[in-house]
Amino acid sequence: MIGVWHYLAVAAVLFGLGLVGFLTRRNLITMFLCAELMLQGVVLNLVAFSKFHGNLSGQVFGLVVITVAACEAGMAMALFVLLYRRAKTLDASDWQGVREDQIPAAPEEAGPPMAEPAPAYPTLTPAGARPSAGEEAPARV
Amino acid sequence: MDDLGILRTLVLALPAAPLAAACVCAALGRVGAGSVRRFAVGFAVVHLAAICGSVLLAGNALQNRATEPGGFTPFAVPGASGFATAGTTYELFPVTPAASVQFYLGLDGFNLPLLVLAAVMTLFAILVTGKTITDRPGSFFGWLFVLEAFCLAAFLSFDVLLFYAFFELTLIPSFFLIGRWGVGGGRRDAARKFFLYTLFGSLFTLVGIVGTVLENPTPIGASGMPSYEPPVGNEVRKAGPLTFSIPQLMKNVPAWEGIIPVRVMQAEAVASAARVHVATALRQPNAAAKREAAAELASAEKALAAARKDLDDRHDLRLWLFLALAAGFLVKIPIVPFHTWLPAAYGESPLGITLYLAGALAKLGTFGMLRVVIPLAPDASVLYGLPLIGTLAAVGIVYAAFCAYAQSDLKLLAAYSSVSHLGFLALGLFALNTEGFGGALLHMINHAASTGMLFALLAFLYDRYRTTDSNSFGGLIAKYPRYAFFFMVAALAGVGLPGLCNFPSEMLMMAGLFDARNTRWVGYGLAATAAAGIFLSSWYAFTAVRKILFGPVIEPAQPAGDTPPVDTTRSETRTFVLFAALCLALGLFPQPILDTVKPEAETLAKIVTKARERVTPGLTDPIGVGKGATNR
Amino acid sequence: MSETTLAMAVVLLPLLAAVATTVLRPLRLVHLAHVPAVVGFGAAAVLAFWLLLQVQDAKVPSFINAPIPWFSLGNLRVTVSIHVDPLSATMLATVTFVAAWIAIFSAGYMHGDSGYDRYFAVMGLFVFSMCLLVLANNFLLLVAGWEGVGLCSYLLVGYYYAKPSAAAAARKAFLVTRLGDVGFLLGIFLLWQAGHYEMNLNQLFTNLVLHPPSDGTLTTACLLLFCGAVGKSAQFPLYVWLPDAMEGPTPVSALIHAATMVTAGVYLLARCAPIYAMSSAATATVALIGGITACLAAFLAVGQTDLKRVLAYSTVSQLGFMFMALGCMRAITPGIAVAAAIFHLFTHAFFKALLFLGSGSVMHAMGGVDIRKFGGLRRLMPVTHLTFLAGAAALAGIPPLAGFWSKDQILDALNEACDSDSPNGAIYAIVLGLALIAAAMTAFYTFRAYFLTFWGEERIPPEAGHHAHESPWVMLAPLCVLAVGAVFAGIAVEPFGNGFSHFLSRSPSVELANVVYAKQTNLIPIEHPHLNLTVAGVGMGLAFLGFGLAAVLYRKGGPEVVPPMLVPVFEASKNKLYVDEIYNATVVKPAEVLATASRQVDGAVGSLARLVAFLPKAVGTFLRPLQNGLVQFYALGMVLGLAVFLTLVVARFTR
Repeated sequence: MIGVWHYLAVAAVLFGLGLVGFLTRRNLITMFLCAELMLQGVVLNLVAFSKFHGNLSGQVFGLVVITVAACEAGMAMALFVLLYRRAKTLDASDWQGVREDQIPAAPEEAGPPMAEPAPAYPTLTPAGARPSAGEEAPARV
Repeated sequence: MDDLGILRTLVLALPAAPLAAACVCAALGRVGAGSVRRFAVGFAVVHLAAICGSVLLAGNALQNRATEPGGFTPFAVPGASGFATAGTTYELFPVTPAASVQFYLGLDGFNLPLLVLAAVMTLFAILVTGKTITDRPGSFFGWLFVLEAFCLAAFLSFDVLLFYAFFELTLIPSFFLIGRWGVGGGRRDAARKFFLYTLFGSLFTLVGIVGTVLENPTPIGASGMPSYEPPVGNEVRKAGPLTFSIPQLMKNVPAWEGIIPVRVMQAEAVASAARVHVATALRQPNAAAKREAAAELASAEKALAAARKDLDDRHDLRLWLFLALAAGFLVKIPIVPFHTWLPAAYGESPLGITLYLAGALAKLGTFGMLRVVIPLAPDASVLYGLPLIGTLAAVGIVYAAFCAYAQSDLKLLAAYSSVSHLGFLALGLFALNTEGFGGALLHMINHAASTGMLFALLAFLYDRYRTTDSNSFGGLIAKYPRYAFFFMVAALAGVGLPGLCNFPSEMLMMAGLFDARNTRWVGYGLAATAAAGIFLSSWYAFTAVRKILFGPVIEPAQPAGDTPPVDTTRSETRTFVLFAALCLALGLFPQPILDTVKPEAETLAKIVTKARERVTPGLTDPIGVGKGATNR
Repeated sequence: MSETTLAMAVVLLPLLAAVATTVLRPLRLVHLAHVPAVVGFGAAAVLAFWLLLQVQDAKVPSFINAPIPWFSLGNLRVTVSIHVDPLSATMLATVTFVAAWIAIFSAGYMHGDSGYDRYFAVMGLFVFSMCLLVLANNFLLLVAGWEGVGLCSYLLVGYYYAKPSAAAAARKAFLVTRLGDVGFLLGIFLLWQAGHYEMNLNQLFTNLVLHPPSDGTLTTACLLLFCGAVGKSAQFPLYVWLPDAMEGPTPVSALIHAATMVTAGVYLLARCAPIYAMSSAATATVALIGGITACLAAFLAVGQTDLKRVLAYSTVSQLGFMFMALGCMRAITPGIAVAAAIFHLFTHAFFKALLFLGSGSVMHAMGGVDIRKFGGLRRLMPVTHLTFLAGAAALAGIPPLAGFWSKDQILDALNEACDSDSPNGAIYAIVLGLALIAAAMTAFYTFRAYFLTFWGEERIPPEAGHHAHESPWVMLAPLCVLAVGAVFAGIAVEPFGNGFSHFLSRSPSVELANVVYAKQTNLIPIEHPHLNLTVAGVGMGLAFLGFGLAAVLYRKGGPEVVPPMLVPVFEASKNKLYVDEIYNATVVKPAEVLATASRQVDGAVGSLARLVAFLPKAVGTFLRPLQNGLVQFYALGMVLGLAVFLTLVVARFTR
């Protein structure tokens, strides 16, 4: 019989994974995904308790949280796009500008070795009108 | 819709309109500097006209309303009907189930003239600023309108927390106006200093407000209805709901000041009755009766001790609450020695903003004294007002005058002269009588007109030479005769020449200080200092006038701009003529303002008179027994 | 036309003239700027004389208009209320009459000046303020006039604004009189409080007389009021501004600093006679200050080499005489004392204005007033010479000219005061002595100036240029008119029949003062002064002594010859006894040092505030490294904080 404790355990695992991921990863998108993971862990808790108590408050909460998370995702992704356009990077440690004056920037640590760049495979032409010659499409992420 | 209905709408619309105008300014900023300026001037004129219109409309209602004794009587309160004094239905958030902070705006005699003042000063600030702001003029005028809106809202507030909130909110636009568009190198520092210093002071005021609110719930009598008279016989007064409404608090505070001593007397009566019981019980053989009587005595003694402690606590507390309440306003006015933010802020601001700071914003401090401190702490004001704040103010008058004399920068001279004049104003306030209150309120307006004119005149020099240092000028009469004329008018208005603005208010405040009920020598001493202040003001003013207007012509070698400097241009002349006319009108016809202020001033004076009787029982006016002594 | 309407018209005509003058510049009619002033002042003078006649004929010579409210709140009620009685009507007539003639003189004297319209506009404003001061029946309205004349004096002393000395003199005049006004205001409010919160003068006096306040209060109030008079009327120790005020155009000196404004203090005390009649200490002080001033200023006048300064010190000295008379108010019948003072004020207005205008005429011709530079002008400027002689003789107190009669009345009053059983008899004796010395010195310095200017060999300084001739008739006519006044104004109105004293004594305030006097001393007020032949003889003798001494020393004209043993005395007098330097060292400089010190202290106060700001800053240095801008560091902080919090919560609830 799967009881409330099972749900809670799964939720805790989700939350823990999210937490560790958020603290250790430097890629903004990964960090965001980890944050979502934590959020979903909490929502799972809410739903589990809702079932346990036999009322719908928790589920309602859960729905609200999911809605909020959706908005948040939209906002966060939009911001990441802007950030990327500015510095062409998604490394969170490159955005230290909000630190106090006179505090030195954290030293750049060597990340894990970069994977070999993928060879330039031929690509399909996009559907639609043929792009005019000489005009390079701006980098889209 | 009747007059009151229209006024109710206007009370909401008047502070809201500048906010809307601020948004328009911000949007127009992208279109061009010229259109922003034109819009700002146009809006300021329309807004001023609207305020004047509503004041005229309100004048009738002001005189016709049934004033309630013991508290301000705001009218045209949005969210209430008739001449409501009990508050409004617009609630912001509940604090306890029965008490909530209300969006309690309204008109009364004290704020009507100041509304006009705030609008007039906005118009002048815009006119004086003119084309000098080239860096993002849209935001500049936008922030200026935001400042005006908060200023107006603070003047209109009758909820003590709401007033505090608007009082604090004015800091934000001022901070940006000084820090972003200041003229000096130290503008950021000055803005930060201004913000932090005044915030630091007003946090104490917040503590004082909360303390006063908690200490003074509505007293409830035996019938379950509010009852403000001291209890008679065995009556009890219970603490009812808390309130943030200033008119309500004005009734509660004196009530509790009366109730608590009576409680001691009641406890004493109970205790002495218990002592009689014990004495009778001792003569009887009944042991149970003896025990009972002894227990009764013990509990009565305990109750008496508690009541006495209550009274002592309240007496201690009233000094601290008074100081806390006053702290924010002391800084804002400013009273020496809490004035050091002012020279920096006035010196670094663009002159239009300096004009607004001195003309309208500084008045929030004195207005706070009139609206919050004296009404909510009348007993402490009687006890500590003149000896403590009055002394500080008197020292400030002389000290700031001396500082003003030693300044070579005319802007700083005007700043210190402002400190000196406002010290006089504080003295007038703490004379605590009708003449003092009315004179102080009139002086708020007069000071704004005279000092505002002075700053506007300095803008003339700054526009031409990028300096206001008096050492680099001389003999300007010969070069700029029209300008010299206006400068002379401003200087004369500043020193209180009869016929110009400061004279009536200074005389009223002097009369207030000569109230025979104030401690005589303290009153006389302070009055003498105030009179000396009038002399000192002519000392520094006329020294400066002699330096820059008389003698051979001296001017800085490098005028700003390409064209040689000329005497007042058409738009400058217009501004100065308006200012001069204002000074003259206020000096010759101050009575309409005094009539407006009178009901509120008398209400407040009555409250203070009752407080005097509580604090020093048996005090009567030693001289004013004649026919003149009515009406106080 | 009712009396008060008439008086209002007298007040408003000069104002109208001033306003009319201001519109001339836009119309390019600056050269006609004298027209509004002359017409306005002239009309005002005619109306004032008419008013005077009406007052004289009236059964009860006291008219009060329906007060026009100015401002009032609580117990302070200030109204525009005017009061016409013999005292104010006399003053009004004197002021407007002298002003009209001086305006005519100015039309010649100031001709072609670039600030011609400015001059006459301010003159108009001045006459308006002075009339307001004279007629005011409300203390604060009186203050309005009082400050108004002060302002006009300031503007006219500083008329030649480009001249640094004029600028300094203007500021000094304004500030020194304002210093007196501090006391003046305090005195007014003290009386207001003591007199049942009443600002209306007549009502206030009645209240004070019916319910007299304590002696201390009354004396303090009287002395404080007197402070104002000391400043305005240039009495010791605040007389220093008047000689410097000679920097203004000479007609201004004649009108403002001789005939009218400086007598405002005398008028004030005369107007407030009822309250001064109640305080013996205050009146004795007034007399003593008057005596000291009269003597001191007469001494200072002796050594001056600037004709206008001689006259300025002489004015100070003569004002001292008037205050001496006023100071007798408690010792003798107040009506007599007031009459003596106002009589002297009246005659002084004529001969002193005449002397100033005469010196203006000389100055116009010579381009300067330094009597060392010119001499022997009696043939060059015959009319000026004769009129000046009339003025000088009147000032010196040569009978039967105006000055003799009025000065005699003052000496008489002082003599009476010595003989009275006033507790301050000794003080009055000293004052009488001072007055006699001053009288002798007056005759001496007056004729010294006269002889040095008009007698001896003809000497004309080079800066005179082609101006060295008699002045035009527009300037001489006023001289002649005033000379007639200087000669006959005294003998015509007072000595035979005491018309002037009788007339003045009918003023309600003077009558009230007499009543107070009678009540307090149990003496019957005397109806009119009687000529004391001994005093008259002594006065006359002293005048002739001074005149004779001056004639012996200076009859030959030429450069001044000082008897060798008197050189230090003359030097001290010439250097004004170093009073300016002493004031500078003891008052002005310390004040400036104090100002600079305050400025420094202000910096220290400011750094005190910075000290408060230092605390959070210091704490901040420790906490600042936490803000390193790394998102993950912040997140870690949150996690750790949460962990600590949760641990605490769990520990709390599972215990």
